[in-house]
Amino acid sequence: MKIRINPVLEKEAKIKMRGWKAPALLTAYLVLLGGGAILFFVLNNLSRYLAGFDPRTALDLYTLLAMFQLGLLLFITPAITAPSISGERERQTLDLLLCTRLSSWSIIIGKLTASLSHIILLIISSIPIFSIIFLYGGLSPVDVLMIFLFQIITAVFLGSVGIFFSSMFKKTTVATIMTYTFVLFITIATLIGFAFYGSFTHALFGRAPGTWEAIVILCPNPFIGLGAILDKQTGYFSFVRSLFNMSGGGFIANLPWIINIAFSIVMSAIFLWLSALIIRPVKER
Amino acid sequence: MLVIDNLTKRYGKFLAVSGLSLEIPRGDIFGFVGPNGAGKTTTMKIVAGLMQPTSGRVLIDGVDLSKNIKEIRGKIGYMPDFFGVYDDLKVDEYLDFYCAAYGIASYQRKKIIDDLLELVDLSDKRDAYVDSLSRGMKQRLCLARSLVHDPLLLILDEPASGLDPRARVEMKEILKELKKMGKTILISSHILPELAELCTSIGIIEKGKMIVSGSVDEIMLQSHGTRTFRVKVLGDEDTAIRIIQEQPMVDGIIRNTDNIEVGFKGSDEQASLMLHELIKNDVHVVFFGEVQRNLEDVFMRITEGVLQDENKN
Ligand SMILES: Nc1ncnc2c1ncn2[C@@H]1O[C@H](COP(=O)(O)OP(=O)(O)OP(=O)(O)O)[C@@H](O)[C@H]1O
Ligand SMILES: [Mg+2]
Repeated sequence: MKIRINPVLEKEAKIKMRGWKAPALLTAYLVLLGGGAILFFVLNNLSRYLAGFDPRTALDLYTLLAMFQLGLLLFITPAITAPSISGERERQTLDLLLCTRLSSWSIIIGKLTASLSHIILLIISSIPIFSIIFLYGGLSPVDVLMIFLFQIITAVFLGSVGIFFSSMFKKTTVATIMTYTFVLFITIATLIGFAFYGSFTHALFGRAPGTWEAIVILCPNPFIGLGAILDKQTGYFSFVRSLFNMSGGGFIANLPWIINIAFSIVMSAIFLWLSALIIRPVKER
Repeated sequence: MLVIDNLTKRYGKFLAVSGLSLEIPRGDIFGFVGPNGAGKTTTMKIVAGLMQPTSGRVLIDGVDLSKNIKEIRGKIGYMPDFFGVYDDLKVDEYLDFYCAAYGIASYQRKKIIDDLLELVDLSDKRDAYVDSLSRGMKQRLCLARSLVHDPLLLILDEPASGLDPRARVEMKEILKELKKMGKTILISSHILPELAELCTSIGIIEKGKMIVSGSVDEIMLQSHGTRTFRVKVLGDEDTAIRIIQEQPMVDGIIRNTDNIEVGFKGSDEQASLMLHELIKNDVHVVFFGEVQRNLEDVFMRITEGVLQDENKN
C-alpha cells in the first residue's frame, strides 16, 4: 500500500513555497520573536545577566518567549486558515474542486494540514531562539517540546475554527473577522467573564470561584492552558493555580492544561466535521 | 446516458428551473440554448452534483445522482461558465493536481496530461504558469481539466464565451474531436448557430422552462412550418410568379429586386415538381434553391412566442 499525499495539501504546499507571502511571514515572525528576546535582555539589564548563570534568567526568558509565541500564533493562524475555502470560492476554483472525487473530508483535512505545516514551520524555525535558554540550564528540551506540542494543538483548534468560518461565509474578510472575534472571545472574553463571575461569587457567597467553576469558564483559554504548563515546569505561574483556587500539586494541579487540550481537540473535531458538512450542499451517502 | 426528469430549482421564492425534462442518449451532443438568466447554469450545476435541486431527478448512466453522487462524480466532467485558476502553479502541475483529485495514480498521469495538452493544443505551454495564460488558453486548459478522468458525460457551460472568433473556431474543433471520441456532451450557449453544426439535438430554455427540444432540423420545421425557396430567372419574372402561384403548397411570394422568395410547405418532391413546371413553361431559371433559415431568428421567434403567450395571460 502506497501512501498517498493528500492532493490538496500537495497543491497548497507547492503554491505556498512559491509565493512571496510564506518567506515574508517567516521573516517577520523571527524578527518579532528574536526582537522580543533582545528586548528582554535590554530591559533586564544586559550586563547583569551575561555576568553569571542565573537560572531565573532562563525561566524568565522561557515563559516570555512561550507566551509571546502563543500570542503570535493566535494572531497568525486565523490569517492563514480563514481564506482556505472562501479564497477558493472568491477565486472561482471551489466548484472545480468540489466536482472532483475528493471527499469533503479530505478537502478539509488537506486545507488544515497545509495551514498547519506552515505553522509548524514557524515553530521549528523558532528553535534557535528558544535554545538560548539552554545556555542557562534548568530546563530540558522535553519542556520546550511540551509547549510546542501545546501550541500546535492550539493552532489546530484555531485552524479548524478558521476553516469552519471560511466554509460558512462567502467572503474571506468576513471569515477572517469572525475567526479573530472567536480568538478574542476565548482569550479576553473568558478572562473578563471569569472576573465578573468572581465578583458575583464574592458578593453573594463571600468566596472566590471554586476549582470546577474556574475550569468551566477558563478551559477554552489557551493562555491559561499554557500558563498552567509553564507553572508546572517552572513554578512561576502560581497565579494560575490561585485562579483555579488550588493550593497543592498532584493530578488536580494539571487539570487546567489537560482540560484545555481536551477542549481544543474535541472542538477541532467538531468544527472540522461541520466544515466538511457545509462545503458541499449536496449530501454524500 | 443523461436523463433529467421534472427538475425544479427555487432560489427562495424565485423559480429558476421549473419542471425541466430532457434525455440525452449516449454519444449525443445536446445544445442548451437560452437567453441570460434562463436557468442553463443552474441546471448544469445540478447535473454536475454541485447543487441540490428543489425537486426532480437526474439519472446518469442509469444511476440516480442523489443516491450515488460519489460514484457519479467520476463519470462527469464539468466546465463552469466562470472559473479561476491558481496562481503560482504550472500548467502540468495544474492538471496533475486534478488528476490526483480524481484519484488517478501518479504513474498514469504523465500520459494523460500529454494527451490532453495535445488535444487542447497547449503542449508548448506545459511549463507556463496557469495565471499567465490568455483567456482562450485558460478556457482550453479548463476543458482539458474536465477530461482528466476520461468522463462519460461532459457538461460544458458556455465553453466559448468571451473568446475571439478564431478561438471560438479552435474551441469548436476540439469539441468536434470530443464528439468523435464518443463523449456525451451537454453544452450551453447563447448563440444558436454556433451549436447547430455541432449538436445532434438542441433544447431551447426560457425562464426555467424547456420550450422546444429535438433535432436541429425538427426545431427549424417546428418553428416555421414553411420553408423558403429562392428562385432567380432570366427575363420575364411575371410568368414565373404566375406559374409558381398555381403550384400547390405555396404559401406566399415575395418579389425581391433580383430574385423571388417563395414560402413553401411541401416536400422535396413537390419542390422539384415546381421547378419542373417552370422549366416546362420556358422560364429561364438560373437559380433555384432552399434558403437556410438563420437559427438566430428561429431562436428569436421561439422566445418571442413565449413573451407573447405570457402577455396574453
Ligand atoms: N445563487 C443564486 N441565488 C439566487 N438566484 C440565482 C442564483 N443563481 C442564479 N439565480 C437566478 O436564477 C436564474 C437562472 O440563472 P442561471 O445562471 O441558471 O441562468 P443562465 O441561463 O445560465 O444565464 P446566463 O446565460 O446569463 O449564464 C437567474 O434569474 C438568476 O438570477
Ligand atoms: Mg450561465
